[in-house]
Amino acid sequence: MKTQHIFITAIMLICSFPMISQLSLSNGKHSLEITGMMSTYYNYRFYKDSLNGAPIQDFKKNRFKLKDAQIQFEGRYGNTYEYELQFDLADIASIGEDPTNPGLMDAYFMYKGLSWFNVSLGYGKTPYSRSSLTPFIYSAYWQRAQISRGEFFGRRDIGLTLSQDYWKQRINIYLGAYTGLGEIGIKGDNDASGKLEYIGRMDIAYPSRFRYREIDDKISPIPMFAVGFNGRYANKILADGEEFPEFSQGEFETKVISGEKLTYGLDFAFQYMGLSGLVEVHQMKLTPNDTLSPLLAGLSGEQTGGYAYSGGMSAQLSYYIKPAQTIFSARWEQLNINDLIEGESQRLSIAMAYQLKGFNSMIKVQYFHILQEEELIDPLNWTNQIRIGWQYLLR
Amino acid sequence: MIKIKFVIVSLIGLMIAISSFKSDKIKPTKTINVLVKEPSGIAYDEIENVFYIVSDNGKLYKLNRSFEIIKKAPHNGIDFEDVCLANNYVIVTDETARKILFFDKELNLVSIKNISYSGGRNKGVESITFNEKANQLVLVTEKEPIYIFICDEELIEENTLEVNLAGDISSLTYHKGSYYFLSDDDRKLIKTDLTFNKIDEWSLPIVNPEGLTFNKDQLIVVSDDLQKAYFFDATNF
Repeated sequence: MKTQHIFITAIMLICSFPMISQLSLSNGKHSLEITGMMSTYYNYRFYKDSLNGAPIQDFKKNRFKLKDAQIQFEGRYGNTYEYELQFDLADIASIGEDPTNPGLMDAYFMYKGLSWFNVSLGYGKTPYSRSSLTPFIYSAYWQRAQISRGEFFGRRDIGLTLSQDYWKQRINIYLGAYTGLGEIGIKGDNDASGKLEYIGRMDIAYPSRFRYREIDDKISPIPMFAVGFNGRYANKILADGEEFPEFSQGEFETKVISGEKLTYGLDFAFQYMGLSGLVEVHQMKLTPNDTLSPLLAGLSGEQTGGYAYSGGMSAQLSYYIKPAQTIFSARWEQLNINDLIEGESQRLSIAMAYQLKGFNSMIKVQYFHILQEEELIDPLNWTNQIRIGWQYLLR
Repeated sequence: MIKIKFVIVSLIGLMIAISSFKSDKIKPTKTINVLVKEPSGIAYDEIENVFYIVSDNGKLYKLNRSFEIIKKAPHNGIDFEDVCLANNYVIVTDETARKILFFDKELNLVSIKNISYSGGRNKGVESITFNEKANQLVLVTEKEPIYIFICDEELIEENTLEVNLAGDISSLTYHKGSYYFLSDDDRKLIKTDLTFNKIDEWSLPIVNPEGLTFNKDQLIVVSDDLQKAYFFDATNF
């Protein structure tokens, strides 16, 4: 009875919660907007009985999680300067557990006074991968695809970006130079090589500009398409005895390597009448300078040519039923962390989001199903997972 | 493979079926390209037979009946969202800067008034129109919430209302005793009476409709993303 009471009270609170409008301040030239976001979910994993012969005894991922507690300051001075400062208090609070999410999300300023390109300097998203560039608040999912969630390549870094749009904003071009250490780049020095990573992206849309969104919430009356090409290159060679900053190489040790790394990707998006799709493909050529690197899987130079490939893809289809304020989406993912090591992973996710107040207040459910594991590199102790929670935007 | 084809054909069929149920959809009689980048608002001057168009990047233009640019205002703003004509002034909303700018018809800046509204930067005063019968300027915020500020011609506020006509309002115009609201999120044109009660609504087959006006016999809607103007037979409304 008490549980029922709590549940009913919680539902009433959700339904009656007034929408808090964001605040903006302006002196006529300089305007500042303050917004925020909070999201919490409950996660339940369907664990295997055992992994590598040992019974599973760690069920810590069955828990509530405060995913986001973000505060964002966006400023603009006339038509010439823009800046953004965004941080996530949930990430800051859990930095000991997950050092790859330092909590700072954006800290940059942009100069728009030049006719040929805009200049952005600071820390923020790197212009690589449409999925990565799409703000997550517009997603029905609780987690991005494996390949674009920041473990395979860095999603944020500190550096300089030049950008410009052409042909009624249908073409966007970005060029930039960054530390190459991803999210760890803000912690201080570069790695011992002192070299940078260079990233470029171009996307082309037709018949109109195509914003970085994955849901067709405006029910486009005409079919809209966008295709994007991006690449990134780093050649960082560490001297003997030197190491990359802790955690910078990522879970799969592909984010930064001692050697040459070339990454390239293609993305295609469409939307029409509430139906939207996004397909992304990425491949990475990893050429470590150390012939004994684990990336080469202990194989000889004759067998490997001195390099390994890593890559994968994701394909997502979503449908927005506006009268029902509901989004349905399905996503298939494939990832081969190292082509020199047998196996690849595949997973399927199904998501549903019910909008209490547009994207500002959404109940989201995501179901993960592992189709295939890359057992030698990334063995999993679970087969299925469900996440359900509430996303609330203060804007 | 057969299953994939079946799914694709089914989805296309579903979309066609859904779209065919929208019997209130109207079609433009003519579409032209607009030379103004990111057009966000439009007004028609019946006396001079010219159009005024504002751009998202803070620029105001005067165009002839063929939509050729005659003149550009020397004063640049930040985020012009709508334009209307009132008592020989061309009045423009600057949403981000929270300003209302008064120009003469030669596009010289005459005066600026500040609007004290602290909603979201892109949810400020989005649109403005002039009700010449009541001698009132009517301002509307974009969304969350949609407020209507009814002011006199000096922008002194007389009344404030909150309405729930659509997901957002991207433009508003007064025409022959009615108000016409444009919604970008819902791609709708909504007609109301003078107390803002909905009389009728129509779906618009337009991407990102941002501004509307009436000339003698046509309703004209401009699209920001496509930089186009769409002409509809005004007798439909």
